[in-house]
Amino acid sequence: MELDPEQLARELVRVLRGTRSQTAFARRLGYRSNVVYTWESGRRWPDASTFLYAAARTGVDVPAALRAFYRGDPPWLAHHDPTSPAGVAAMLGDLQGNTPLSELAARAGRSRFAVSRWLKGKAEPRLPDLLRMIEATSLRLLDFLAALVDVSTLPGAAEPWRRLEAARTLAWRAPWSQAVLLALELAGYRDLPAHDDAWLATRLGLTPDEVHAAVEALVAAGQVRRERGRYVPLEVKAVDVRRAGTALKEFWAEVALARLRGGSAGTFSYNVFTVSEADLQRLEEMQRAHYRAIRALVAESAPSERVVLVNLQLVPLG
Amino acid sequence: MTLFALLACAPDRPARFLVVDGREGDYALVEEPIPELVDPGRMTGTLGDGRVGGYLAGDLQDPRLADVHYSGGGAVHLRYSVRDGVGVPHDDDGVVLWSYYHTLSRVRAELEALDIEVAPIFPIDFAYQPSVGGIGLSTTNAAYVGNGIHLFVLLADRLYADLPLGANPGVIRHELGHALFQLIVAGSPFDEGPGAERYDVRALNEGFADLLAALTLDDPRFIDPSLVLEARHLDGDATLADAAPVDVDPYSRGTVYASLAWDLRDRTDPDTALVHAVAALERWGDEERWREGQSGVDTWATLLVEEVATERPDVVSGLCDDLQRRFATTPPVCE
Repeated sequence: MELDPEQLARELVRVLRGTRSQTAFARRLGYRSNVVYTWESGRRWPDASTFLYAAARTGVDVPAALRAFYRGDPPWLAHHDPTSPAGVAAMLGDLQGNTPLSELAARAGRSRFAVSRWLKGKAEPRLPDLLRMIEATSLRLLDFLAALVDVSTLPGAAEPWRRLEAARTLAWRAPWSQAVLLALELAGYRDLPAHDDAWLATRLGLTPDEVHAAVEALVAAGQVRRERGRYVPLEVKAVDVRRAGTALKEFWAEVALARLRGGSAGTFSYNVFTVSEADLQRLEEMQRAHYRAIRALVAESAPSERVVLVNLQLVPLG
Repeated sequence: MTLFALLACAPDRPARFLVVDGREGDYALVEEPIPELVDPGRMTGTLGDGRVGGYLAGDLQDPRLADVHYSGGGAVHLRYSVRDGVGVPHDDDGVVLWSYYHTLSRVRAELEALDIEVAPIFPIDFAYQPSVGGIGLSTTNAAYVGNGIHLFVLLADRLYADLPLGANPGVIRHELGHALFQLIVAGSPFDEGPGAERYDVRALNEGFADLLAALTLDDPRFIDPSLVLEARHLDGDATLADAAPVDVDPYSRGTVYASLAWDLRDRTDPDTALVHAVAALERWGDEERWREGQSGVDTWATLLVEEVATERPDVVSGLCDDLQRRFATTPPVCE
């Protein structure tokens, strides 16, 4: 993980404190001792719910921030105060989805017993471990931070955030650049003696000119650099582009449609059915969980041998 | 004649046993083999034999007392049945004792896989629910006794939350940690060695036992399922400055030592942390000064950082921060 959770935790507390003194901030949170000093110095850490409570006390609308992070209204938020230990456990459990506990613990680098207690609400993660869990469950820690504070004010996150924003902009303006970026991670590409637009074009079903244009755009955005005759991604990570609205969904759905019409290999399925409202909600939740499971599997998959497009659609017809 | 034949006919030896072990972040009954357990009814095997009852004389709470003696006791007779090759105990005693034996089996294999020598510790016999002379063990507990005898003690358990202490894999590992501490520092599981009566040495002994349990299980709160003891959580804020006076509560300082090892685990992995903790204890045990009371046992914490510095320089800076936070010291290796 490029981000340092301990450093980010210190910086988050510092940003929340703002212009207040440490002792004033501590008093505002109900402490008689200068606990904020121990948090900012990294000697101790606030529990996750304490941190979220502190955010709320400084004016952050925590439920709204979490809705922004989710890009929706997570069901657990209707039943739990997110600044409570139970709320934290509910959030982590929701983000866990179908990811097995042992895999989640390994991703977070924490004990499976500790993670189990956090998920069950028997214990609370401290702030650095909350950040680890957010990243391990969602791969979107930067978005979580951005929902709570201005990420550019966090020295440990500002540069990764800037790169992520640049990647999102590029992904929106030139969607194929994302696929080309991933293709540069293919083991076969890394074994090439030199960069070859045609080789990449074959792997993506594009023309060499389209690949060339995408590579140029990636270079201009600072997402790749040339090393020993080949292009190397500076960073390949989850790029959440939901703020682009439906444009990218439309784009990739059309790509899938074109491939289907062209007789490309792939798994294309559909089913039209009737279902109860309650079960439709269950299906929607199953699809979200399935999507998270796919993301988790992809995050751990190695070596990189194919570039793959997956579209998931569940459409109530009227 | 028929009745006699029925009584004499013991169940087949199960291929697996119903025991308590940690899976998927929780403790539960699982079916596991215990290859070293030769007679599951009598609780005899290559890891040691069990006796039930008997009399344990001495004071396990006071390390200044000389040898402890165990006498009497009878053979264990566990009742169980075998279903689909799995041994199912008929009472709590069977769960506790099989879980105990299974834990010994597993932790021995785990430690040997890390090239940590534990062979001299085995066989180690155990006494189940003996009468205890002296004071200190009137409440629930499990214990390792290594002065004069070499014995595990599993006592009656009436306070547990979800899991009897004797069946708690972490508690058994903790007690085995004492035997390993003694083996490393004094060279024998039968001899506590010089300095064992010192409270600061005992604190390190407790800390080492805690870290061994926590790291082999990968659970920083391994006691919790049996007894919630927040002061023994290794993922907490324990510091030397906040620890209780060592002559009042050696566990408190022990938690600080073990917490530093847990810090290392969080920066690396459980096996790496355990191997380095053992290496640091070996170096600490080799130092002559501690035997003469000239060296504080805090030295172990510094030795741990030095051990890590040789193989994992990438985490030394962070571990030095942990050392400073918990022990308020900055040794030369951290400068």
